[in-house]
Amino acid sequence: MNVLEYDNIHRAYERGRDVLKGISFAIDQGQVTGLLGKNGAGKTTLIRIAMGMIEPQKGTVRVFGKDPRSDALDVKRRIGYVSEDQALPPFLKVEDVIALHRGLFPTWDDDLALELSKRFDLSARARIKELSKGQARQVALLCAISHRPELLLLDEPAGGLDPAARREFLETSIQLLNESGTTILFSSHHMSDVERMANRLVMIHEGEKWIDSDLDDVQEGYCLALVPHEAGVDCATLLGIDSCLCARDREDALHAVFESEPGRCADVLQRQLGIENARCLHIALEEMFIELVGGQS
Amino acid sequence: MIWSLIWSLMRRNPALEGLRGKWPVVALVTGTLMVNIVSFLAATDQLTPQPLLLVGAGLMPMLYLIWGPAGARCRSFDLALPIPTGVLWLAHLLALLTAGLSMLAVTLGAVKGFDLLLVRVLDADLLAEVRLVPLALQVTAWLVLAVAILQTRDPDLYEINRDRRYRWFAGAVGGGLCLLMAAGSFVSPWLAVVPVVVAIALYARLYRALPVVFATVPREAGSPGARAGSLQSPGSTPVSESARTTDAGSLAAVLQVNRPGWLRWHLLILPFVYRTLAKNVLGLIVGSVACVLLSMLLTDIIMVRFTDANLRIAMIPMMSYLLMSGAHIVPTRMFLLDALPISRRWLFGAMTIPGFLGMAFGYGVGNLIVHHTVETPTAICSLQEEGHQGLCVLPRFFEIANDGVAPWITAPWKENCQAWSLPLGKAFGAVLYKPFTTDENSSPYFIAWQLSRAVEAMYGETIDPDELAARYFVDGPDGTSLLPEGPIPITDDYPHLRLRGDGPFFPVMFMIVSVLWLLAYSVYLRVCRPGVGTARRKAVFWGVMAALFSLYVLKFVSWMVDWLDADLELAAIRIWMRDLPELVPGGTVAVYIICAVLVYGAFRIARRQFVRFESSAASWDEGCSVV
Repeated sequence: MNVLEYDNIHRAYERGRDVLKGISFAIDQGQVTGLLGKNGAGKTTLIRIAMGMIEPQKGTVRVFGKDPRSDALDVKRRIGYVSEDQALPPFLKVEDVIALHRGLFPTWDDDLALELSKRFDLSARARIKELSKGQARQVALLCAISHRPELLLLDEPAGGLDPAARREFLETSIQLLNESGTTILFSSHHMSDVERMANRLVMIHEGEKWIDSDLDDVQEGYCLALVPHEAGVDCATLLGIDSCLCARDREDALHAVFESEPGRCADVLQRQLGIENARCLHIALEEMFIELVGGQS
Repeated sequence: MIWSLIWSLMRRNPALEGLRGKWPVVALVTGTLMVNIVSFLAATDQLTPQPLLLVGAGLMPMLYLIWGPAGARCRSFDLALPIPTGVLWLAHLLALLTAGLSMLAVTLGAVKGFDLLLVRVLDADLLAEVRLVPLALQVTAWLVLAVAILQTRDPDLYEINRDRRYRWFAGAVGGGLCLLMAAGSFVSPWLAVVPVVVAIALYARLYRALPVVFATVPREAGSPGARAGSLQSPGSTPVSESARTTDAGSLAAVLQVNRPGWLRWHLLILPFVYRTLAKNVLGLIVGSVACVLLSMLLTDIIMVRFTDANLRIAMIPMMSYLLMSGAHIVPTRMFLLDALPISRRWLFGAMTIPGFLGMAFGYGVGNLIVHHTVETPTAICSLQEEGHQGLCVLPRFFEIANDGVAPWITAPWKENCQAWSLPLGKAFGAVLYKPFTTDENSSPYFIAWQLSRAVEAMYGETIDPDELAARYFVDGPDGTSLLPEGPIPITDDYPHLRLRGDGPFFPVMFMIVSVLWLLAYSVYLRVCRPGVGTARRKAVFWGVMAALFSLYVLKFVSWMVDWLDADLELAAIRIWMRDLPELVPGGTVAVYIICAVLVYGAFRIARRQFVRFESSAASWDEGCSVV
C-alpha cells in the first residue's frame, strides 16, 4: 500500500517559474526514502505539499490515500514532521511544548516521550529560546515521533547540527523505524546520511525527477565514465547514448554518468563511439550527486 | 569622503530601512485621526488645538524610535570593516533623527492636508491658530532629546538589547517626554531650547564614552544585556547541567497528568496560538485594548463630554479597520501552526471570536458608563417657539418624510397644522419632521391632543387629552388655557410609564462592523493563494484597508459638504432603529436573529477563505515580512 503518492505535481511560487514540473512517485509502507537535490530543487516544497501546507497547482498528492488539504486534521495526526526552519514557540517551556503536542495527537505515547527526553537529556523546565539549536531540534523530533507516526517527514532535519548531534538525531529516527515500521521521507544534503538511513533514493533537479531507485541499485547500477579528450568526442555525443544521464567537460577528461554497470558502460562506449581508453568506475553517491546536479549537463 | 561614508552607512541603517514598512502608513492614519479629533474639538470650542497636536505629532516618531526597527547601531557586517566607532555611531544618530523627522513630516503632512480640505470644503479654517513650523521645531527638539536618552542604553553594544527593562525604560522616556512637551507648550514654545541643550550635553558625553569597537555581546555574563533577547539568538546559551538535573522528573510529572479536559486544553492552546500568530505580545495587548476602547465609542459615550454622539456612526468603519489591521499578520505566520493537527476552522474561530467578544464587552461597558453618567434628557417639555406654544420631544421620536415634504397633522375634528421639519442633507431628499408640531393657530385642545400623541409615541400608552389638559394646562392671563413652559413631569405623575428604548442599536452596529470586517478579511484571504505574488497580496490588503478608512473619511466629508447633517443623520438612524422592530415580523428578537444570521454568513464566507488560504511562501524564506 502506498503511504504517500505524488502524481504529476506542478508548483510555482512566481508565474512562469515552476519549482516542481510534474513530479510523480509513490512510497510504500515501511520504506525509507531519501530525497536529494541541490538548494532550490523543490525538496522542501514537495514535503510541504505532503503536509498539506502547500497546494499543488496541478497534479494530486495522496497521503494514506487521502488529500492532505481537505483531510488535513486526520492526515497530520498520523504524520511526524521536522524541518530545518521549523519554529517551535520560543516562549514556551519544553514541558509545555510536549504537553501541547500530547493534546494534539491522540496516539501520543507517554513512555516513548519520556524515554526520548531521557535519551536527549532535555531540561523540561527550559524555554525553547534558551536551548541550543541541537537541543531545540531534539525537542522537535521528540514531538514528531512520540505519537508514533505512520509517516515521518524530515525536511533537512539535521541541517546546521554538528556531526555528533546529527548522528544521534538520525539514529533515533532509524531506531523508531526499526521498532514500528514507520515510513520515512527525508531530504538531506548529506549523502552519508542518505546512504546510512535510506533504502530508496529520489533525486530531483530543477523541479524534475532524475533518479528514483533503490539505493543498492543506484550504487550498483550507475557508473562514472572518464573519457579522455584525446578520444575526440564531445559532451553532446556522449549524451546521445541512451543510458548517459549527464556529461561534463572537465580539465582531466570528459565526465559522464551512465545508468549502467561499469563493464557494460565501457562496452557501450567502445561499441557505439569506438572509445577504448575510457575508464568506467563505480561512483559514490556524493560524487554522482555532484556530477549530476553540480553543473552543465 | 567621511560624509559619503556616513551617507552610505545611514542608508543601510535599520532605522531608515524600517521606513519602507508599515510605519509611515500608520503615521498617516494616526495623523488623519488626530486632526479629525482636534478639528472637531476646535469646532466645538472644547480646547485649543496646539498642545494636543503637539503631543499627537510627536507620538508616532517617538513610538518609532522606541519600538521601531531602530535598535541596531549598525549592521553586524559593519563591525568587521575598518570604520571608527564614532563614524558608525554618528551615522546611526543621523539615521535615527532622519527617521524620526520623516515620521513627523508624514504626520504633519496629514494634518496640513486635512486642514487644506477643511478650508476648501468648509471655507472655515478650524486650525487657523495652529502654526505648523514652530510646532514641528518643538517636536524636533524633544525628539533630539529622546534619541539622546535612548542612546544611553547599552552604549558598548552594536544593538540595544530590547528586553523587558528596556521596554519599561523606553516607555517611561516616551511618556515622560510627551508630558513635558505638552506642559512646555502651555508655558512658552521657547522652552524647547532646553531639551536641545540637554541633548547636546548628553551626546557629547556619550561620544566621549564610545568604545573602541562595538561589542556584539555584553562583556560580563549576567549583565542586563546578557539576557536572552535580540543580542543572543536562540540557541546561543545551552541549558546548564544543573538546570537539567534539578527538573529531571518534571517531564515525567507532566506526562503522568491525565490528558487535559476541554477547559484546561483551551487554556493551554489558546495562549499558544495567540502568541504564535501575534508578532509581539505588546501589539496583541494594545490591539485588544484599542478594540475595547473603540467599541465604547460605538455607544453614546461621547455624550459624557459633548452634547450629541454623532461621531458613533463614523466609528463603525473605524472599528472594522481596527479589527482588520491585525489580519495581515496571520497569513504570514500561519506556517508556524500549519504543521500541527489544528483545524483551520477552529483556528479561525479562535482568532475572530475574541474580536467579537472585545467589541461586545466594549459596547457593554460604554453603555454602562452612559447609563450611570449621562443625564437622561427630559422626554417632553413645553416651550414658546416663534410666538406660539410648542412641544419639544427627543429627536428619536421625530418621523422621516422620504418625499421631502412634511405632512399636515390633522386632528379628528379637522384642525390641522404642517409638521415642523428639517432637511436631512443634500444627499437625500428626505426631511425629518416633528409629528407633534403645533402652530400659532392651534387651539389648546389641539395642543393637548398632540401631547397625548407624544405620550403614546414615547411611552406606548394612550392617555386621554382631556385628562392631560386637566392635569397640565393652566389658565392664562387672558383666560385661555395654556401649557406652562418647562418639562412636563409625565413619569412623576404616571410612574408606571417607561420611555421606549433606543431600539436594537447593538445588534445592528455589531452586524455592520462584523460584516465589513469579515468581508474585507475574506477579500484579502482570497489572494493568499498559490500563484499570487507577495506584491499583489500587499496591494489587496492595503486596498481593503484604504477602502475601510475612506468610509470613515467619507463620513466627515459628507458632513462638511452638507450631504448629510451629522446630528440629523444620527437622529434619523435613531428613528430607523426605533421603528426596526416594528418593521420586522418578530420584533426585536427577530432583528437579533437576522443580525446574527448575517454575521454568521459573513463569518462562514471568511472562514471558507481562511481554510483554503496558503501561508505566504515569502514568510518561510524572508522572516515573515509579507506586509
